[in-house]
Amino acid sequence: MSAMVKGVVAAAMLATLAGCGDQFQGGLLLPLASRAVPSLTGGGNGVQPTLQPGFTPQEMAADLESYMIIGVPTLGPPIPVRRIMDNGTAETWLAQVGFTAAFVDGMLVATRGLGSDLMAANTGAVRRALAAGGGTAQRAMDVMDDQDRITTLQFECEIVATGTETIDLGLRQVATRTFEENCASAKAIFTNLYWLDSAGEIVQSRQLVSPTVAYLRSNRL
Amino acid sequence: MAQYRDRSLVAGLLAAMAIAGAAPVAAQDRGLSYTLYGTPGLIDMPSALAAPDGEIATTLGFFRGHRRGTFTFQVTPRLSGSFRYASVDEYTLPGEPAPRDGFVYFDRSFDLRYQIRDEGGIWPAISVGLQDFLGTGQYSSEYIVATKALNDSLRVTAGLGWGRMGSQGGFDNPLGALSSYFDTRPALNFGEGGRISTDQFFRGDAAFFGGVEYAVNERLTLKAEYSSDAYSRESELGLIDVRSPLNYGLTWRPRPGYQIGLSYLYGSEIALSGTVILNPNQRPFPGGLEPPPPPVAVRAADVRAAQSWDMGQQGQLQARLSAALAEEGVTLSGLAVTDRTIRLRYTNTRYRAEAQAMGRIARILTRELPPAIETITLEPMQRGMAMSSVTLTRSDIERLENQAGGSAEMLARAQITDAAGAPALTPVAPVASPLSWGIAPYLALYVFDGDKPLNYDAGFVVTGQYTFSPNLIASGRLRQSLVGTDDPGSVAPSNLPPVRRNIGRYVVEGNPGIENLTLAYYARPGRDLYSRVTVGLLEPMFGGVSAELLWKPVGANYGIGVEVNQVVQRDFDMLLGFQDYQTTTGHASVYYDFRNGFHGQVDVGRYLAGDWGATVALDRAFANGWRIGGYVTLTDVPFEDFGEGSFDKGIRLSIPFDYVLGQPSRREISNTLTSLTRDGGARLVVDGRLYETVRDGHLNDLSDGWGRFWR
Repeated sequence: MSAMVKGVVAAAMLATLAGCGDQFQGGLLLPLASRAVPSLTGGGNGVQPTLQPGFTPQEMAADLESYMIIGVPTLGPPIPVRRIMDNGTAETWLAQVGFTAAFVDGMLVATRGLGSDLMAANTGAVRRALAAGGGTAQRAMDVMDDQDRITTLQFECEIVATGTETIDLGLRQVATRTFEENCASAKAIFTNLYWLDSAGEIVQSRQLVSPTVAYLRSNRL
Repeated sequence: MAQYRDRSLVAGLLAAMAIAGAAPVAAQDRGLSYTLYGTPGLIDMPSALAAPDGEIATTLGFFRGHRRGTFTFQVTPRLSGSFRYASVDEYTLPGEPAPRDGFVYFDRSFDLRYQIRDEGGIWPAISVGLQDFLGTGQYSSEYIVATKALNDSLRVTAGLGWGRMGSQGGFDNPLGALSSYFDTRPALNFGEGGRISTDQFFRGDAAFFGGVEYAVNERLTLKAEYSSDAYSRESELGLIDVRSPLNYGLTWRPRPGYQIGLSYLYGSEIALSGTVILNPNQRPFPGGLEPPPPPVAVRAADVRAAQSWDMGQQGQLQARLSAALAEEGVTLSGLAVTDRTIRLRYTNTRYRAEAQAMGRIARILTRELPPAIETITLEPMQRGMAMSSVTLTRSDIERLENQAGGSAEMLARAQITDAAGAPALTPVAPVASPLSWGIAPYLALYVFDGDKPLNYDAGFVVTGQYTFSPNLIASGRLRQSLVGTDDPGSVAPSNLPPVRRNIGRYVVEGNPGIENLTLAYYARPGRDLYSRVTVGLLEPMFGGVSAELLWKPVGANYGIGVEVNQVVQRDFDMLLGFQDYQTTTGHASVYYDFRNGFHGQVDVGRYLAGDWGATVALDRAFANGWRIGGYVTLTDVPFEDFGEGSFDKGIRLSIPFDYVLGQPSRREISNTLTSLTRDGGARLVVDGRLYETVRDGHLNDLSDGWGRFWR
């Protein structure tokens, strides 16, 4: 186990705590105050610190497969997340600061605890196009509005191979093929990015959560 | 750390923002600002613009001797209503004697505005409005107004006003061409106020008004207007020196939701105004800040086929469930299990939307239940009454968790029925202590003195509750005032028993005072039926017995209730003693959910002073828990006997805590703005009325909150 990974992980954890820890322990007043002065909470978008075991460098080093790194702009620097559920299809990952992200075969299908979450997504066709080296596909994403209504947004997406790149996942250098997923509906466009290793696994990605949260970045260790 | 490519990040983010479907700021929305009257418009004159649907604007406007506080609600995209509370130093109504020195005139007024058409093509926006159409008519005017944006920055408004808005540069009413009826406006018959002055509408002289607004940037708008209000009575009393009909002003928006206005009025006065805007359709914390739910555990294919399990494990299952649900603020009080099914009764104490609690419970069950159990029936309770029975299949929960459209499909596949008459469950001892208590500060504003309309009182309250069983609850609330008025004020007496008008004495003498101390029993006497009996000190001014029966089918838009109360008036010291006055009061009520965001309620019956009549209420109820509405009570008490205001009416507002704080909560902040507290049309206040308690768990409210099922 390299000292570098320990360093990365420890630094990420420290950054996490400094950026978002204790965010709402001020009780009722702080969330109100933070509305008026966003900088009070570092602009964080609402995660509760639920300090969980399972994030020490020792634990991570012992079981690297169960961890990855996730970054969300509203939460500051990327942080480690731990797999807490593997359903056979969906894997759910928990961050120490108390949000979860669910992936199906590397594709982001849901988040919770980020406020304006991705409620659900159908990404199977996009994943097949990635595996096939490109193509067009539809994707559907559920978002919730301020009146608790869920809307399913339908997008037409074009998946394009953009080349190759050797990336540094922190522990290892991996040769990847890179892809862009350009999606459009009548109201919006966005672009997701994927890095696939030689086995076709998504080892790194940047995928849309919602307009408020924007993109979630992930990379496997 | 990982290397990310950033080349399209900014473009992507910008594009993503557009997903919200937020329309670009339309020229006509740009710089919508509020007048000194708190209505969308120029400076003292209205424009034809409508605020975004649901918007609530609270405006305070001041100039020498004049103060106006207005609450304007955009009821529908085209209709808005305003409630105003104003004071003018040394003012009296036209025709009344001049005031004595130091006299302050207080008045309430209501406005309605309707946007006949929105701006589009060559057409301007056009609105018609009634200002101060109820009440004593100090500000009473009618107008029709048109507003058109010439470009992104410049907007012009022109209108025709009657009444007060037809007093400057007035000419013969053009409506006189239709009928001579419109030629003269009769003198106002103020009476006790509170009556709709239809005999005034659009009559008498008319006058033009208008103005321009120029948006320098997103934050600053400059305005100039020609006012058609001559301030005739104010000039006559020497309260204002009207040297010019031209007003000039600016509106500054330091941040979204706040406006500050400064203007120079009538060539002689400086005016200042401030507006705070809230919109129930825009959460400060989108989605909410609750911690994430546990993921659904999906059974492997081989164990899913199991047909039975070791029922000897039931005791352990029950203990595990009880503890896991308690983590989510859910109190389990009974369950029934078979080889393939489970049924639970529980009380959700944390989540505003029962659907969210259901989703969380469903997730926990997938992790805790033996694989053989496929059918899950959830029976949410409040105050010990099972409100509905919602049956889900475990396979659906496993399949739909992360599926787009999975929320709607889950609701479509749920079976929602009445929970009454179901077989008995194995009771589960509560994990939480039956005793709960709290202490909190309070600030109350009272309107109990016709001459000094606003009094405040602040201190702390101690609340306590003991739950003997989920449906037998003792509760109490003790108030200790620390600062506030020590003058009980006076409300002019009437021929009615003083059931409410001594509120000032209760506030001043009841310190410390027991606000309520009751024992309440709730039950489900039959299918679609709910009941309540409450005994004790029901409210600050009355004690006794209150009994209520509600018929409300789970899937119906309507409910019918009956309530009968035998009450005795409490002593002013708000301790355990009573006065001589006792009465029987009660109502038959019809509740209706129009399914378009509006809720109606009609109560017919006998009020506290023994008067008979009805209360009609209409509320706009938002799916996220906001409620804004109004009510009117008319009884057989003649307007002259009722006193100022003629009859009881008011507007009410309820804001859910989770909207304000982002954190899950079942609590809400409620307030009612009402006329003077008088004796006619006064209703008993009692906690735990059934309809509001039960509807959270019924089909309509479950559907409204279902978007939170998977949160």
